Amino acid sequence: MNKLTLAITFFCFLFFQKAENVFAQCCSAGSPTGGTTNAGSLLKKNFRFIGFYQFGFSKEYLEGDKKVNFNLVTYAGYHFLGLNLAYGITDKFTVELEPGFYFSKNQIYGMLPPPNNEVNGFGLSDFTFQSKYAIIKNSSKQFEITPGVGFKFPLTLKLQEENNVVLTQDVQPSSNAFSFVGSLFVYKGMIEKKMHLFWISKIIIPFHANENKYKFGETFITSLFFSYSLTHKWSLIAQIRYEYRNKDIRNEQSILASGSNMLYFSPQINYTIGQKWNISLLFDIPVYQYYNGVQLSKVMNIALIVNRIFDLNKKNTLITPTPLFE
Amino acid sequence: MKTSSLIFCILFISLALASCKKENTTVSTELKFISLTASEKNIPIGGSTTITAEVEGEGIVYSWSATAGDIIGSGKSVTYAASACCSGSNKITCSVADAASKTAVNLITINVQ
Repeated sequence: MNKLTLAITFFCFLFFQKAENVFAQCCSAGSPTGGTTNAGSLLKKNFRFIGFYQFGFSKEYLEGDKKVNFNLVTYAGYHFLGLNLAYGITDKFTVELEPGFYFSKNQIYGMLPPPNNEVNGFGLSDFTFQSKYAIIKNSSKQFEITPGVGFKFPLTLKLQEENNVVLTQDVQPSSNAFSFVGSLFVYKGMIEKKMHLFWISKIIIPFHANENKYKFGETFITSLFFSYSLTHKWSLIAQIRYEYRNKDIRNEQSILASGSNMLYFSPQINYTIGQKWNISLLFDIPVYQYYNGVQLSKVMNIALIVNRIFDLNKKNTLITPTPLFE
Repeated sequence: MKTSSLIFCILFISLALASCKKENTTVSTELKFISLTASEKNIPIGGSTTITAEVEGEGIVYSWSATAGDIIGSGKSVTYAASACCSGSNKITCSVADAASKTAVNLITINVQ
């Protein structure tokens, strides 16, 4: 496998860093993966496009790490479309914008008969903007350290309503509040062995409560990725991820049944098409979950991702992607 | 000729827009929020209660919100449910508007333990 393809693969699964579950901590299916910590810096005048579709759901409640017989919401799920658009201003400085859209975010209540036993949210999620600068970027040693800072912002501060009823926080598509985002990306390549290692950490700190006086707790996520190239087209990636979420606050009081500690294992397979496009399938499997109080637990998330890098330095922009390491 | 035609069109459009003001619908029954009641005012975590608004008026539109918890359904009567994250005294607000755009508001407190 040549370096170019390995570089493509590198950028491809960088995207699969699972990130914000900032909102709807309590009693919900959670929120989609894909955060701006996924990748390091781009080369100058390179543009990276990543698009993904994700489905996730929850069905049972945990208290601590034990299953409990609590049947308020019998099903919670979401369908989400996300984008990650990045551009290299210089060989070390990259800016990213990450918009998203919920096709649906719903909960079904067990104590009511269908069809009037469901609440549905949909619409644009929070957008994330981040700037990243590679403080170390050594091609020959295949090593990079790139910190990033940015913010999440909502497209509206108003909570969503359906039929003149304000939807519960758990199915709101947006947090309706601004947050600080910080990240750190560390990469070590072993191209000669067809392997790559990544460590990515991210922190999200909400600035304020939304109009319902609800403020999400701080989130800290750290992930370790290992990738291996099977052939010049196929790659396997394994991710171990830890997520800590602090308790939410309502009316300036901490919500006891919120916040969690979770450990995920995320296997992923990637296929490269014509050395230009990459398609990946990812499974996000919670290995260990601990919740403060009684909360809906995560079952699994599945994502389908496509991505490509465009080198805008050349006249023909639709060319094979720029390799990370020459 | 062209200038006068243009001026005429502008005047015509302006008059037309000026006349397009919203008509105030008159109603025969004055809006009155009679009561806002719950089948249970004290519910356990994970429980639910039905909240009903009794309103007099015409063309009533009901709007609902809660300080915590979930509101399921819409219209005159809704179901309020509360999970573990919503323990305490939660206020459910019902706002109504009639065909004449008059409004009224009422709220009820549900205790979740």
